[in-house]
Amino acid sequence: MMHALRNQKVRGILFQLLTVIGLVAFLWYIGSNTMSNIEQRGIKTGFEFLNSTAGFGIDEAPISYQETDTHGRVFFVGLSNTLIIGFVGIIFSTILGLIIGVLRLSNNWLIRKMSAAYIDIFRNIPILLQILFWYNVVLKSLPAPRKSLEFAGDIFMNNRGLYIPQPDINSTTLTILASFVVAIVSIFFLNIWGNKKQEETGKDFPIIIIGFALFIILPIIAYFIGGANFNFDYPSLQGFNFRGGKSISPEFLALTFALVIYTATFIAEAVRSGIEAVSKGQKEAAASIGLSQYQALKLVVLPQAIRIAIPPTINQYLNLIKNSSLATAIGYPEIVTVFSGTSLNQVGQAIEIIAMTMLVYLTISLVVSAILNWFNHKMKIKER
Amino acid sequence: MSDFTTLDIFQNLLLAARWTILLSLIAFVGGGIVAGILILLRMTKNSILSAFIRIYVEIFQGTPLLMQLFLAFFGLPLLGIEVGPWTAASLALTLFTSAYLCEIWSGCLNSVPKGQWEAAKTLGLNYYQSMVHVIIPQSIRVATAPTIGFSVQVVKGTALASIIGFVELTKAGTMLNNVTFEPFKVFAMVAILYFVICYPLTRYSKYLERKLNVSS
Repeated sequence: MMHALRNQKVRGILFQLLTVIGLVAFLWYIGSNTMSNIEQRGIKTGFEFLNSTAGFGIDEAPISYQETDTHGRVFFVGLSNTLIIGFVGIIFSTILGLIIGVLRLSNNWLIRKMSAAYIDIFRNIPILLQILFWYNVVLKSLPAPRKSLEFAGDIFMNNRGLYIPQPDINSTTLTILASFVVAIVSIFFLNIWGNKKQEETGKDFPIIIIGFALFIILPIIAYFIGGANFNFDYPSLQGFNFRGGKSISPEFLALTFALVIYTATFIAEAVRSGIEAVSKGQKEAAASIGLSQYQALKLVVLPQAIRIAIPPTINQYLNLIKNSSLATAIGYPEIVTVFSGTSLNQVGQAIEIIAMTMLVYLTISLVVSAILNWFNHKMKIKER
Repeated sequence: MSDFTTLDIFQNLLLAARWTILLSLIAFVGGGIVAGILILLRMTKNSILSAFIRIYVEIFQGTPLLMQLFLAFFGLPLLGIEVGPWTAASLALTLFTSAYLCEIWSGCLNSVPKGQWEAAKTLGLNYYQSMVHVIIPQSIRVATAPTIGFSVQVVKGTALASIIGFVELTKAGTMLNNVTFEPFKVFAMVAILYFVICYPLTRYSKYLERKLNVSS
């Protein structure tokens, strides 16, 4: 017996066994404890509640939703709002982060210091406070609908939100949308083709100019193919509020503003460290083999900077999506507000509801880390 | 109602800032202890324990802190444990911090070159001696900057405790805003107080990072 215990392998298996028994006992204890408590409180268990009527309204539902719909439907309304805020936030924070990150390295003293101050201020204040600030201080102090701020004649902003003209959905709008997709796809493939061509012949393929041209020409062609019938639905003041057009709620605006401004500081730092990480010798080497400044940037500096800047940036996208859960503080109806908030209050099944919500975020997080792993693998320095 | 002078508001916020700092300290120290235990468990090389720790870290890093607070605040009562905002916030923030610190510190321990282990072994040190005398002193140097950097995240994270009713700086700010109707003044002061707490930590972490890069 003692002899067997001294054997490292036997000991290893024994420890494994003990851990499993300990974990199972712990989980069983928690499980049975919870069950008896839930029974005592008369709370139901299981996922039946997903089929029961929710009975509350949601102001902003991207998918059709009525009060008589189920809690399951509420889950999907919340999820789609989470995805919308994530998508919009990621796009704008990337743009702002890129700009600030590049300005941070500007040769102009004032611009450099101002972008540094921007980064220092907004990354050292909790995002929750920033959301509350935009919501309570900026948007709530805007004028009432009758005295709306007016931009370019057709865009209105007041304390009930932002009103912008919305294009009518008809064959023209749809063909133009399709043309954008075609443009993006063709630029993607042209880029691959251009890179291959360059490796074979050494000639630079002007992808940026051609890309811009495609982005302008294709929609114009699409406009005429689609019947040249492009109409906007304009917002107009009727009674006490605006009708028509597309209205964007102050909750959505405050959340987007705060998330974009906060996340952009981190993306800017990632961009800066990426560019700084490319050593000066690389640029000098590029110049010495006769590359122009643009070629050096495109072929030498950017490929190396991107390798360093992208992983932290993707992590920030994940943080942005997680931070969007703070919408609950101002009542933007994303998944935490409507499902883990209103539905939970009505049904009381905290464990099922919170588990489902956490699972949503975990899934997003796992997908993002899978993308990150794929990227890191693809970007590994290949020895040739 | 709005007979609060600016000084009154500031004093009340300053008093509330104590709880922000205290909660941050609890979360940071508690999280550090839990992270230490997790790392010790991981070092046993037990594959089931390692898998458990991986799942633990994935759950706490992959979900919003707010959901963890909700889980502690609404979930624990269902287990038969009655918790107030204080317990729920401390617990959730401690676990949240521990997951991140566990990852940071593991990374730093792994960053010590393998040759150091081999050299320690050659000198006749056993596993724990090499850990205590060779590996840990070197990894602490690497770990300080990211750890202090993360402490800023903890301070900012305590703001979320206001959502479950914990009266700290942010909650005090919203309460004062509700009675004074001066959102700009109140929220600007709250922001300044957070900045005063977080900025020195950020700067110090950056300074340490630069120092480490220069010396290595």
